[in-house]
Amino acid sequence: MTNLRDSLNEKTMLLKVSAGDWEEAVVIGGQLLVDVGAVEPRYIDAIIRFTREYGPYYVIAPGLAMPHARPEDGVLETCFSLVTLKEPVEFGNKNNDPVDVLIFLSAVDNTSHIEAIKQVVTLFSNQQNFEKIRKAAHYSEVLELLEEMGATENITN
Amino acid sequence: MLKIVAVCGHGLGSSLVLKMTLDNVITEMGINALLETTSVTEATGALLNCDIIVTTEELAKLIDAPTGKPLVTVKNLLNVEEVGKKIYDAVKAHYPREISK
Repeated sequence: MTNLRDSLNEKTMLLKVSAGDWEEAVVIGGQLLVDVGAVEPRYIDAIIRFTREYGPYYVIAPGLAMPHARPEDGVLETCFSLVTLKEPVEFGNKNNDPVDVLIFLSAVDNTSHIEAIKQVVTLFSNQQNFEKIRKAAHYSEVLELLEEMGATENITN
Repeated sequence: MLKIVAVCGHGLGSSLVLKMTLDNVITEMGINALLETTSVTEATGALLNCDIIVTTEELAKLIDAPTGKPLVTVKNLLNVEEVGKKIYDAVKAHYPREISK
């Protein structure tokens, strides 16, 4: 599974949900990956443990987190899930807090998800796209955006 | 050719994002560089064999950069202006001959 559009669907997206703190947000998105069989439940514990140990190493841009642990922490399939929050939460990353968009990653190795990560970068480095995701109330809006991106990719390639 | 290594917690998430942002800016700036990714725990060997280390502000404190080797820290890994300017400044300061434009 190397394409973001292969991972993101009705089952792997929860939009405009409430989370009391970063840990709750991580559990929500992690559970989506558990439910589709992409990770074992211990994957969620690993993310939380690493966050406490290293700090929020996966908060990559203002408002955006990409929580993940290692392949050996219970990954069964390379997959992504998307969670957006009604109210942003603090991860303790002074530059990029607060976070309201979380794209969760489970990777079976160091390379299988590279194409999908490229799409994550393309998607969120464009502020207009970022805002569309942030404001999306229904998963179909995100899918439409991904389809549009795919169409653009085909034209430019 | 310069070797730039992007470091993150596990070597498969943030460092890949950083590598892709770098990919998008270095050629444009006239910097000819090989980009690699690694994790904080595996970093020691990679750090010895590279010319520039790039990471997040969060992780920089966990990295023991070899003496004299530039350690570039970025805040927003998706921001081409920030990442581009910081890497350009580091190359200009430490390896000015590697800039072809």
